[in-house]
Amino acid sequence: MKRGKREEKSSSPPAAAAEAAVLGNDDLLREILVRLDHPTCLVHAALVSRRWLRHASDPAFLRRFRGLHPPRLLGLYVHGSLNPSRFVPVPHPRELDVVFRRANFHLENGLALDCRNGRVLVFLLAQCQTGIKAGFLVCSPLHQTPIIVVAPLEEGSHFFLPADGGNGMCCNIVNLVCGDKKISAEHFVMQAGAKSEVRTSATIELPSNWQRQRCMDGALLVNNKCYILGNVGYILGLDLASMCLCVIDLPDGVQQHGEMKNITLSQADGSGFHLIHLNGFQIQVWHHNDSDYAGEWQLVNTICVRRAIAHLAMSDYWEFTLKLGSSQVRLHRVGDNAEFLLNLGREFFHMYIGSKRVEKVFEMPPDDNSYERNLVIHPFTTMWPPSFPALRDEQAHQSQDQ
Amino acid sequence: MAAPESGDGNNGAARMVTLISSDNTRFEVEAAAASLSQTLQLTILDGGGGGGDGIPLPNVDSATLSKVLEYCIKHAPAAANGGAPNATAVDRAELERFDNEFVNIDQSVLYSLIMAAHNLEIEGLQSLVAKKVADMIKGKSPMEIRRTLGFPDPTPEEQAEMNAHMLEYGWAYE
Repeated sequence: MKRGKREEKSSSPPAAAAEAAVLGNDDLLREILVRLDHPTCLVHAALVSRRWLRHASDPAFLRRFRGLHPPRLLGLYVHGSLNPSRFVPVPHPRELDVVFRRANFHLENGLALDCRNGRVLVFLLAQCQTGIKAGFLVCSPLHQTPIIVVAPLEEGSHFFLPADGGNGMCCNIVNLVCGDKKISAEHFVMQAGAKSEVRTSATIELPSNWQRQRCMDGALLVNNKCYILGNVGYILGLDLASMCLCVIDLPDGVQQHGEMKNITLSQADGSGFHLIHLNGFQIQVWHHNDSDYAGEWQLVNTICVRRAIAHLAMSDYWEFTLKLGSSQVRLHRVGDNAEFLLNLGREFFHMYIGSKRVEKVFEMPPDDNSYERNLVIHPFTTMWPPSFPALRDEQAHQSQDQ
Repeated sequence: MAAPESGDGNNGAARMVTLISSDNTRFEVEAAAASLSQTLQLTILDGGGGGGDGIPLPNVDSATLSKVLEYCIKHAPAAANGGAPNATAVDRAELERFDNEFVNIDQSVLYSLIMAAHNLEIEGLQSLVAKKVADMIKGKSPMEIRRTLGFPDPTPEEQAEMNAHMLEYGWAYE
């Protein structure tokens, strides 16, 4: 009742008039709230009062906030072929300390297979009374809720969390059934441990026998379409709605070097996906429009590795790595919109194509031999949208705390 | 009353305009600086503010207007270059240093500036002062935000609700 009026008043009289005018003005309040940078800060501000909550949780305001502050990389799940995933935090601003204090990023002895919007799909081998049991779990490191088993083990599957991370209990599974220069796909959804009906595509001809990548970070789920990069110079596209399977050739001039990790895929803002191609010390970013599979490739960016990181990596070690040649450079998918991670010897750099920003995110200790060539990296970002308390008695308060 | 300093002063060719604060202080500034304000720009384009006339600003007191003009004078050259795409890194760093220093002010002055920037529609200044308040809020709990902004302490009932919400939503995730 009185709350709305009371909050507009300041306890220090001289500042009161100007302050009341500023914080009582909806436009000015929104201009302040939209500059809070992190969803965590926005939620804290939303709890200041009902009026602030109403502004902070308004859908149009949230769209603007998201546009200005895209989800932020918090850390990386990293594993080699022999060891479980471990979480490597990246440098973060002080405002996010609370997230790191309260989150539980530890995955026991599991392997991270996919990360989407705060959910991590984990493959876990567990000792139980009847022997060793394998299974898939979805973890929510930022939540206090326990992990949930979603699926039993199936050999050779591709796993995709829903683009929004899902409700923590759901996961798409695509199995490829290969023959001699032929392939078909089956898809089902695991929801809280229960398997949906299995849907199958027609069998299609291939230019060469399908070879699966050992590291599975070349697979994407975008707008209900899966894109799976193989090892032999083409991408498989699967429309989950129509179960239509097709072959997408790589862009002209793009050569894939097997397990050398010179190509990775990334979801594009808007529509389609990006292919990031590392050629020597040059990176090309291609965009594929996914309106139909006959969509065309367009070269959208070319980056020189040496120039991009020259201002960051001045160590003797880096000089030494560069002398060894471009075979020391590797690409890893990090996030949407062609963000990627560049691995140069022991050092890892995060490149934001949009803002042309490059950050060094971590460096392996010299004596750490647990990392090797086939490193698999999954980025873990802040979640969107944040959750707010429901606005109760909205009607009753609206007139009072304008 | 004598006009306060207006930066580089009159360099001959530059057109000057006079602004009059709510407490009747007259400020003479270059039209280019005053035109950072969308509101003033129209009047100035129409030829207003020159000679003995002056443009009255009944919503802005002299202390605030002098601060606003300090910002406009500093930013006018860059704005004249169309957002200064050719500005050197040194120029940009200098403006950034100025901006940081500029908002390092008492909270009451800051709020007066926000109102003035809003009324005069000075885009860069609006953004700068809103960012400053956002920075004061960032990383704080709802209770700390209320104290920072001088809101009265909540009633026990409000406090209880806030605590419950902090437990449930307080770090942005359900």
